[in-house]
Amino acid sequence: MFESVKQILIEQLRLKNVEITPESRIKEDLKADSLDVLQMLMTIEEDYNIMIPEEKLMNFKTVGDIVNYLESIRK
Amino acid sequence: MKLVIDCLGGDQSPGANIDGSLRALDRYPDLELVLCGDEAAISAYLAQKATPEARAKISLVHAPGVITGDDKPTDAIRLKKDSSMMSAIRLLREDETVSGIVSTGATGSLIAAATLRIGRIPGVIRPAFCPILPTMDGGVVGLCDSGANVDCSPQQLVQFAIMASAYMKVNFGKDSPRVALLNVGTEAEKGDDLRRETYKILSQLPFINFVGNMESRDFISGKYDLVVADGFSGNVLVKSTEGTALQLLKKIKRDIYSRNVYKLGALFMKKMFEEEKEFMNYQNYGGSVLLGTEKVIVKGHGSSDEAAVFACIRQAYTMATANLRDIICAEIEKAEGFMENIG
Repeated sequence: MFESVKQILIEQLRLKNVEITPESRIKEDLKADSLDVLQMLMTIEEDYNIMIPEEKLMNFKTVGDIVNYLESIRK
Repeated sequence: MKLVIDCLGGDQSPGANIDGSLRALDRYPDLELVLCGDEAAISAYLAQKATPEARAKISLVHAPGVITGDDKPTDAIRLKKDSSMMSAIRLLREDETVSGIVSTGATGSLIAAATLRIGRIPGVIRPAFCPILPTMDGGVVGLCDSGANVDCSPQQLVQFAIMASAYMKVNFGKDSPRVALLNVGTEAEKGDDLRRETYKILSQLPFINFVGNMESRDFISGKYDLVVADGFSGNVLVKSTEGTALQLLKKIKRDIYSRNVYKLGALFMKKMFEEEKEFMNYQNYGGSVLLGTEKVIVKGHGSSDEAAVFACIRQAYTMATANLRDIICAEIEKAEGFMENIG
């Protein structure tokens, strides 16, 4: 799951030579703005065929938050 | 050159959208179109109106759902995935051979869908909406932004100037568009921090023909080719201008009918009134474009007829052919270097 989220982040944010770990902060470390975050989450929604509740959309702080959420709804 | 046409959502859809498409195919031999909407209805319409040559250049995507102005944009683009607009956006995103979209559907949803699903050109902070209005000297003026971004930074306004200058050059042949900043006075120190800071940067950028601040009353005077504004002020400006013109026309018409002597006088001025109406007819000036996205986005007026849809397709074709995306990308990169030096 982490690897697939990481891949989406690399493509969406056009990241090069940036280390991505579950602890990476999306805005501060990966330099994503609010639009990048929304865009990335919508790609995840489409890829995983899920609907992330609106109140959750802007509350993911780290890459691990997204991975944990996706794993929790898969259970 | 391939474009996708959203055939639902307009007041005269799908007829006007299909008729405008057929006219564009007739005009541009290298053009191919994908029409999104109710496949059966579009096929039946094409069977009556399209020549075999035109029909061969059209492919269809069945997407009968409609996004309306009542739908909340962020919900519409996530929940109405099978609508004509979202199907067209999906095709634009996934098919590298499709260069742009023309839609007469809901503006907010189109802006949100294009921004979130098509993505931004590298370096662009936020895409911006740019309509075109007629000016008193028979020319046109662009306004960027007219509503996509309510809150803006000086850097965003500078990017609007850069992107829309490139657009005015490519689509309207303005070699060095005269750019003005919407403000409450013309002097450099007028306005709030946003306007003063933007003024400072714009006046130092060598590749923007910045001519200073503009008061709203001079918007369609013909003194400017492009007006830069935050989306909130820009939206107020464009709607006040259109509203004032329409109300004034209505009042003149009502006054003419109030007295026989006025009616008699108006008879001699009938042709002039028709010319004025034509001058103010938005359908002659094409649609509004979203600047700063990876692909071409053109939004036609909701009540667009065949001529208006054709004008929108012409705009999209011109932007895609000139590769406006690459021009904007290079100009934004160039500006970043300058802005770092300005500090």
